[in-house]
Amino acid sequence: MFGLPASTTWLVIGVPVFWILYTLGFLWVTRGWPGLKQSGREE
Amino acid sequence: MNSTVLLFLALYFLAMLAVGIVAMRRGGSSSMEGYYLSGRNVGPLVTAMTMQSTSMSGYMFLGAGSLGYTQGYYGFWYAAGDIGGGVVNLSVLGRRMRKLSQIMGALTSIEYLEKRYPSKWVRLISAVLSVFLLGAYVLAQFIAGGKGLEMVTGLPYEASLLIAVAVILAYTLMGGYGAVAYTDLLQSLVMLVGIVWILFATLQEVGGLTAANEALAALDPTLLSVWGRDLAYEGQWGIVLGALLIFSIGYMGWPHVVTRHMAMRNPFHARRAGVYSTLWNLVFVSAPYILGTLAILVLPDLDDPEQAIFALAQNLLPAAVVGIVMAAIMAAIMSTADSILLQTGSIAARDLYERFINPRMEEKQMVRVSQLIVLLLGMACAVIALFEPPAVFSIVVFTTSVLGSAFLPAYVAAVWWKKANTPGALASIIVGAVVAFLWKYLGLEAATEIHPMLAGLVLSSVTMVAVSLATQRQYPVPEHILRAMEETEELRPLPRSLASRQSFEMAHEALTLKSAERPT
Repeated sequence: MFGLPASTTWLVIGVPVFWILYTLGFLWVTRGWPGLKQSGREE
Repeated sequence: MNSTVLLFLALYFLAMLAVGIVAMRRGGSSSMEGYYLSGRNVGPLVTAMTMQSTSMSGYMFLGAGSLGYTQGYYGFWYAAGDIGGGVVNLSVLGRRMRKLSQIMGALTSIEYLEKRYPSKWVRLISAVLSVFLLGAYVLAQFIAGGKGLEMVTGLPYEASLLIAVAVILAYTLMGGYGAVAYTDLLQSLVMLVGIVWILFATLQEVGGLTAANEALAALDPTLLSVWGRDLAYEGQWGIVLGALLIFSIGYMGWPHVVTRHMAMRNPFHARRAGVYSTLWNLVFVSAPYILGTLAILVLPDLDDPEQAIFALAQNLLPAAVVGIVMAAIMAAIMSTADSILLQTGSIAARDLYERFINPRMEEKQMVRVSQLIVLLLGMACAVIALFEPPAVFSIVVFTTSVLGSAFLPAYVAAVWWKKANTPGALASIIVGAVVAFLWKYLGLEAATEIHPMLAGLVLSSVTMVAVSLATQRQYPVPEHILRAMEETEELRPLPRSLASRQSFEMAHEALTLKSAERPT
């Protein structure tokens, strides 16, 4: 892709994709976090 | 230098000062929590942007471009780790560190270590290590700031240095952490606009990425390899893994970066901040390495590879846009310099002066002392920077590795492992710092093909686990800390009793005072 060797393509495209998946995984794991709209302190 | 470029820079500096004034008027220097952590009232976007722009120094515009220019796509090993650095930090430490630091009433990331691992030695060794290493880092950023402004304006180095330092000192002294964080937000946007603009212009010049890669392959096919020009780094997995580690998990060991968790308004903001970090990094982080590589085609006879991005801007952009790119370079340098300056000054004031020399100061007095120390430190670094000592950059090269190796296991175990105790943390900090330092100093990196950060991190982590387990019976983790960690695990807002700066019941100094007051 983009005229790059396969190993370089993996590094340039694959690693950012991995971090996107990591971020989505973090969002999924923390979907139950409460208090996202209110202050973190008890009112 | 073109007057349009100077106008952009002048506007940029004025904007930084204006943010400092606003932060001051919002009470940034009226209390210790206000000055050190902006009253723990920083939202997710500002948290993400201050974390990222602090982590990305002038290196991104100078060193990263140079790496791309000299080694081609090999530089992407560094970018690959960097893209995930923010979200890893926020997902592993963010919510828990924010909550635990508030329960324990810690205002600096070094004070937090002493409160989690109760021992004055933890604080003393960590503070001295941080002040020394971060002080060298401030010095290097000041030199970079002076050189950057000299390059941009054509003013003499001495005048450029003093202007850059004066602006940084002014807003840092006025508004403390709030000023630093909000100027970082602005600076991160300037950095993003600058790098994207120059990237588009360069891609247009070379006919797109595929055409550029084909032209590079015709020049030297190894430029497209992941192992560098002439495959110089082929098979050196120890070096490559170290590069990945420094910029992905290494940030979790940097005292000036983890402070960002402690200043969040809400522990749960770590979630959104993680997303903003990844989005910003995806756009920003790879660009300097690509630009450096593409500069081989546009400017094949460049004398100084560090000038690659600057030269691309001058050759390909109209004057008005060059001003934005120049402001972006200054933004990258200043956003790192201000954070490290504030953190170093805070550690010197709070963790050394107040803790060990003059513990009986009033709050307002402490803020003034912190400002004075930041001012003196800034002035001392500026004077030394005037002479451009050659040894500074060789220290800075492994500053980040030493900090990461020394503190990363201590910060991570502080919130995740209840058996992590004081001897374990102390031994881990010492082993991590000494190993990373000696690995570089004795040239073991070349001999073993293992990066100092990788060696230091593995050994400091093993030390933390082994010493904590071996000394668990003699030095158990105190009950009040275990209770604080249990509260930290809970997915609920802090109870009112713990929300206001420091819980008397949970703070170990308070417990000590209580027991001292009891009749015997």
